[in-house]
Amino acid sequence: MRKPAATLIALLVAATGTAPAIAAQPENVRDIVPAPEPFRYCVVCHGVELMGNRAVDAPRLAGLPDWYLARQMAGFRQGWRGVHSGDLNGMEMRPQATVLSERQVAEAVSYAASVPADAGAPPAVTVSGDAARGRQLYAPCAVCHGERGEGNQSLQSPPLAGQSDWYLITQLQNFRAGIRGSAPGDTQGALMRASVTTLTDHAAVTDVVAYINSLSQTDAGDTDMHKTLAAATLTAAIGLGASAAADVIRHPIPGSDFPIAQAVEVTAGTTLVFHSGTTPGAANPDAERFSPEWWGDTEAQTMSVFGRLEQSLAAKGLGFGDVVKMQVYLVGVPEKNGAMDFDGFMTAYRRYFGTEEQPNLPARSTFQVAGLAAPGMLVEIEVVLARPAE
Amino acid sequence: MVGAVGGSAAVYQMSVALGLIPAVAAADTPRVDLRPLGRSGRRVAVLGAGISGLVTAYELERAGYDVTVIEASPRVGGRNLTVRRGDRIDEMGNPQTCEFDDSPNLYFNCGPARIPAHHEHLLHYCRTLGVPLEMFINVNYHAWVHDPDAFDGKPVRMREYIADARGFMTELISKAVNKADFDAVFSDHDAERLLGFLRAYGDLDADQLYKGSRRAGYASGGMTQPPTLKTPLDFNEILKSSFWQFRMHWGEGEDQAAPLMQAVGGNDNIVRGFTRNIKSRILTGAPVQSIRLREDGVDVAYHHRGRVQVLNADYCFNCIPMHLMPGIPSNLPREHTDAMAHAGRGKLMKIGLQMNERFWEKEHIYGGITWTNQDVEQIWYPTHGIHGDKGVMLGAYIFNDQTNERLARLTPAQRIEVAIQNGERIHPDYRRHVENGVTIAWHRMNYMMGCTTQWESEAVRESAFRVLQQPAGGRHYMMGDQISYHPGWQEGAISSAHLAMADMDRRVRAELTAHA
Repeated sequence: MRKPAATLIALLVAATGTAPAIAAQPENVRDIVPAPEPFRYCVVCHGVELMGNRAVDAPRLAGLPDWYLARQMAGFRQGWRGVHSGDLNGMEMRPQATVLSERQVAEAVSYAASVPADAGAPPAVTVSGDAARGRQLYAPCAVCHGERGEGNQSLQSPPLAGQSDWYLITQLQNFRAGIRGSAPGDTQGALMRASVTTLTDHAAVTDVVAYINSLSQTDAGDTDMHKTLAAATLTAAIGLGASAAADVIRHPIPGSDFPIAQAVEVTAGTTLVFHSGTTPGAANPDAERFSPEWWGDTEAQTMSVFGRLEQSLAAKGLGFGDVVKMQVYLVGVPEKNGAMDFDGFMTAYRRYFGTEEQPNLPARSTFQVAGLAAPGMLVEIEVVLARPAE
Repeated sequence: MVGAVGGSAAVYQMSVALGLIPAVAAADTPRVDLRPLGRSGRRVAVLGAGISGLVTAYELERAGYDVTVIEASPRVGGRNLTVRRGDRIDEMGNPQTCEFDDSPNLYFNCGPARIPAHHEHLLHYCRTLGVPLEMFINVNYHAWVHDPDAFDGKPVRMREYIADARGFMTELISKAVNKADFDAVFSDHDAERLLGFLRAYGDLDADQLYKGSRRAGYASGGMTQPPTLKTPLDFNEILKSSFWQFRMHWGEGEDQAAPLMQAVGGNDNIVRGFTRNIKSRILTGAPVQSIRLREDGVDVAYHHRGRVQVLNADYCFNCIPMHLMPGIPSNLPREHTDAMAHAGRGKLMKIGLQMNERFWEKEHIYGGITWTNQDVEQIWYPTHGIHGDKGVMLGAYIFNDQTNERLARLTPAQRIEVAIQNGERIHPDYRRHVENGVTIAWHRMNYMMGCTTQWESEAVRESAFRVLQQPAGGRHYMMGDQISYHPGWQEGAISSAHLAMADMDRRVRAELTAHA
């Protein structure tokens, strides 16, 4: 088993180290967790690393806990799952569950539970519902499945966040229609069947699943942005995300024309590129090294940084329009009584962002720092980019 | 003179040119003419060892490519599967072992079973690989037509059904022709000719009436005793039967004919013909774990002998079923994965039964197909092993999706029981003859999970092929019968492979020219 946490840390270090870090190129296909020989049958339909396959109606199993998997396998074997005439997909699963011995079932469950939720590509979003309405509809669901859809073993409620939306829709519809949760023996299913009465129509189902999708986007049980980014980086690094469209939503600052975004939303599956801090070159190379004349002022240094950054991005097939996040470090100047020359920086910034040719605005933070790597250096800029779809 | 100089081919070409004989429609995909690589090597990954994969390996290695075939299942051949005694049928949740007697004639072609005369690529390989062929009888008027809703559920001979149906139809049309309405359309001569046509087609008497036909078979006599005609079937019953809907015309389909061909001893001899002649590595038990397109090639990770290994290929030819591709991580362009998402997973089942005697031969049936509109749909009588002790017949070949879904949920023994119950309504002693059987639900077979590819519409298929018949990133080709307009046929698979190889060949020629 690989240790996903360690891999994440390693990638984060690589991404924030000194070398300009384009998303690591994937020699790391070795990171794939191959299915052990007896479980090769599982991955034919459920996919490598159990990421699910809608084309054969096989749900995502990665990230499901062993207690839930074991209970459902028991259901298939005991005949309370996959027997209803309306459940063609469940009926397809049943022979696989019944052909195994008890020991093989236990081993299969233990293998499936060992595959981490973020092992393969995150599930594609295929449902467009009203997530805001879904959030209200989700309130009673949260009692058992958790505020963030993380599941609750003591209530035998499986995690929902991170599951494929098409599968959630199918199962909710099955519960509503009595196709699932009505067989004797399926005691938990019966509870769920009673609970879905709050979802009165198909729109309610898609809305609540759209909301669950939004929980999946920020990683169930963890709101830490770094982890989300890291998961996206991991995805990119093992080569799963590059084909997905760069799905970037830029939220403007309400009632403001200041040329930055209030927030930028990047859908899972997009390749993110972490670019190291870029520093300026000399404005007047003939002047005394590291003197104010040699460097130029904040505006000149910012222009130099953007010029260098532009070259580096172009070499990677990227441009300023792909920047989703920017961190700006400025050193104070005597002309401003030791404060940063924010206006000087902004003058340069406006030439590259929020223009007619390049209207895309990043989320941005600007810091004043005590000093940078070289004496007299006033500007360093770090960016994160979302690689556009091919 | 032409013949003396150019041989029979020249005579043929000349005859076509002079309009003396019609030209045979050429295959739309010519056999690839690969430029030999010489010392400039190219590494190729072939994903899947079905017919298209084997053809690709065979052709490319001859042109100097370094080929590795990566096959997930433990066997080679894909859906070209012939089972004999002891063979394993790797169905999800229903593994079976073939229990036929150990005898050269007792085998069952679970996948492709018949070869039409115009599948010229496949026939080319059978010829060059030394795979002996024999005729396969596809249409046999001695076989039965059965419909529980017609003729009191009793089977009737196909010859009787067809002769009487034509007799009644032509008699009816004759009456219409004799009415004055046709004068406007036909001259007197034409009307006379039409009546003659109808008499000949329906075997009518001089008064344009159908009173039975020798074509239906005699009721008695005909050798040393005077023949008596059968009483014609009730036309209402003929109409009630569903046989006329498509089964009656089956043998006239584009890829059908009364005589087709099969490989002597089982159609997997075609697979053997390839593997005998392929030197490249063919890795079995090696499921693909990821496909990563690079700017100048394709990296394929596969799981083999307990390890994940990566093949860095220049080009990749992929015949993995498209409906299984979403389960394999890849960075194929969105355009390609979207196009593949339109490919549906078809359902198809065959059942093979070993019979303790060739009872059908006593019913004057040698080869061909009996049609029924029960679950099993078709019963095929083996063309090979005539007058032998036993025979393996096809007890079911099911096209209907709902029937396939329902039968797939049964155990193999239950499916065979359905086949027996259906069969004994046609052949009364059927049950007594069945010794054992195999059931192949292609939509449940491991590493397949479908046959044949289904498309929402012809327009969807065409637009998908506009993308999928081009290589992703100029490096990765989808292929197989699934990328052809002839799915479920080996010729479709081979044509698709040749189309893909021809595209790569153009690219490689350009590369070699650029570096020359």
